[in-house]
Amino acid sequence: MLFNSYEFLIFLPIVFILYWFVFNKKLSVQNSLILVASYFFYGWWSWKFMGLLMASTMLDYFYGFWVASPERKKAKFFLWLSIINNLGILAVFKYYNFFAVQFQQGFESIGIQTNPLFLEVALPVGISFYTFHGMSYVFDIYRGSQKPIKSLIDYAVFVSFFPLLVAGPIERANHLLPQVQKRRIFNLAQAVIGCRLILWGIFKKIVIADNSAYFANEIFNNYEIYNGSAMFLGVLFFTIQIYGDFSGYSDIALGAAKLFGFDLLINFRFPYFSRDLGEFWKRWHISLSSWFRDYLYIPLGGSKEGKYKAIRNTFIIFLVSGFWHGASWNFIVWGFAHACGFLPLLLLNRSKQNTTDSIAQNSIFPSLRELFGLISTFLFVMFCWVFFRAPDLVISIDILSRIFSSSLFQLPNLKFDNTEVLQLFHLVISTVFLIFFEWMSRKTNSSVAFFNLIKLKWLRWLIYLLLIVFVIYFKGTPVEFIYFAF
Amino acid sequence: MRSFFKYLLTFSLVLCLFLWLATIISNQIYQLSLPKNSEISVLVLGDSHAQSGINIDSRVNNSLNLAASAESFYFCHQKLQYFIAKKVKVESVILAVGPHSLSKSLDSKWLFDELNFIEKLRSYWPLINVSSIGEYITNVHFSRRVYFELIPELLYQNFYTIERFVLLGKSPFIGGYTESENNNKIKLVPEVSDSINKKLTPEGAAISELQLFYLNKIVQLCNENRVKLIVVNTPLFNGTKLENLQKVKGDYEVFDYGDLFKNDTRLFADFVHLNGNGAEIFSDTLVNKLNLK
Repeated sequence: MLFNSYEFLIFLPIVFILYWFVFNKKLSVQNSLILVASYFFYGWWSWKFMGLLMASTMLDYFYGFWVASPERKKAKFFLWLSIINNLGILAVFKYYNFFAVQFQQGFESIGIQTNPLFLEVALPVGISFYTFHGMSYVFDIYRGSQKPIKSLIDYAVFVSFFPLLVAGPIERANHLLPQVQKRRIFNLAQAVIGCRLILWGIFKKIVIADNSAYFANEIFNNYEIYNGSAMFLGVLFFTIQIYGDFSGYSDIALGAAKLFGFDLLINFRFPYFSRDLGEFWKRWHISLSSWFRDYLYIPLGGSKEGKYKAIRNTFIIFLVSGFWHGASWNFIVWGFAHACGFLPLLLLNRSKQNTTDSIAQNSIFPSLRELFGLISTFLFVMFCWVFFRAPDLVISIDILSRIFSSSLFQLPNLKFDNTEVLQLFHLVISTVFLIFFEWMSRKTNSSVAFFNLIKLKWLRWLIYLLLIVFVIYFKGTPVEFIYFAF
Repeated sequence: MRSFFKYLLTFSLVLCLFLWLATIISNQIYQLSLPKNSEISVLVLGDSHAQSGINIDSRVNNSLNLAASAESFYFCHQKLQYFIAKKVKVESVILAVGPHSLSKSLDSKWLFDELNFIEKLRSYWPLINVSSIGEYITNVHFSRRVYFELIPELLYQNFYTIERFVLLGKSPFIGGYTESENNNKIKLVPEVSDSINKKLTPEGAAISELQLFYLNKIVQLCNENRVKLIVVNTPLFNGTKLENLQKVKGDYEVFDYGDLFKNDTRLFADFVHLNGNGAEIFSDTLVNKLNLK
């Protein structure tokens, strides 16, 4: 079931009413309903893969007990078994065919023909997210920051809670589990923020992302016929699309969770307002980057064991992060490009210089220095998205070479019909609206903080109405959430 | 919890009021585009063949071409019914029926496609008899998604109508003569034309029961209201003539011009649509035949 579907529009209120009016007496009943609803939500997409989700949940639940063993050797053994288990699931369903192709091509390059077996199975939605949930639980127990929990239902809710099940945020056991284990009481302020987040998320997905996707797809799918400036616009459209798509999804997830009394981890904090790449990664897909920081970068030594190791570890997490997104060289190169972009900051000890405050902290507009940082970071991130969007490396390089050619300074050779011009007009209006309101919220952690700045109730309601009109009228052709593929 | 529901309910009411207001404004704008005739001498209905091939408005007083691209007979019937319900005196109806019109192979492609249906429905909303929609959806076996999409699509149309009117000063398009954009730009190759027409009218092709059902309804409506109905096959590049009208019962005339301009590359925009020149010559021919000048 998709957040932007009519099915979800029916599903959410039904579960909400059942949750607060019928199943609200006891914690166990609340959690049981959440679990049933979550499995229903997942099964709506594919009931066949529910078995995999349940099996993964069960295994990590039991590993939790085994890893908690006071015998460190035994605990370590089960920790590794859990890692092999979780990564094994990912390896089979997500990466097997990629490795099979590399194996085949490697042998072909030395003249040996092979015929590896390829798996013809769809990627189970959310696999990268729920396996990482399970791993964080086991890791935290091994480190001693989390105790194994007795209730399988509570644990299953932590892994499968429907707002975060298929595309995150990637939750941490020590953040979400305490909430799962405590009976939720309805909170009006939280529910109102939840509704605002859902509306804002739907706007970002349906209006911003889906409309941008239309133009990005047109340009990327026919890149051979477009000049540098048109390709530049194509990449810009995708840059807007991926932000609207993923941060919109995260907002809906956070909002839906709030309606049920849960606070999920924030996944985005206005990443395109970053002044350097270090700041960007503190603001983009925060739950994933902090996951890699805590469970990979720091255990590898982080930045505390000298420059060389810090550089090595940085490259490792960016490459792994790239590979996490998909079984393709494109994602690895995307991660590598970001690592290279991050390197100067690391060498100059400036990787954390912009992580404590926000752009234009004490003013309305950024300083010239901040503006330069914002534009250069944005352009760097934007060009890196080419590897993310293009189908393969050859095409990515072709697209970049078209952009960085003299045709970049020509007029874009795009031809739009009247309907497309109108659609573009709507996209521009909506994007200006988005930028304005996100700029107003930039100093906060919430993408809907601007609503708190508006003290007049009628004005807030007018903005809600405007957003609904945008959603009804400016909606683009529906496109699947990008992160469903990961 | 009570406060939350009160909050939601109040906001929902405000939202409904706002949408209702938008609907009223949109309907007012829509009324501007609807013909105000109390009498129509010739009403042209049909798909793109009539839209690009019959320029009658400038030739015959009180005539009206409301043909539109990818139009099924359901919408033709709705348009005709709208005028009859409004007590407009319609003397004759020219209905474009080509060899493709009754071919089942086109049902799912565009004539009875869900997206096409929703787009048409939202464009013609004020013309549609609401009670006919249920029958239509049942006949066509649309997925349940259509039911979900109807209201948002109709709301979309309201805002579209308002924006178009405010920005461009235009009211909604409900059909009309439109010169083909591909005028004289396409090289016509007879072999390709033949292959296309074979796809459209394979010998013994299954007849679209849906199109037939609504075509019979048009005939019946005309007969009941003493409207003269003329079924016209507009010229086709390969000269295909009409077949398969045996199952259409009632009184109507057939003007089959399928082979009128056979293989004349100067008069076609593509294999099945007349270009501007072709439309002018054909419209004169048609008007002369009807003795309407």
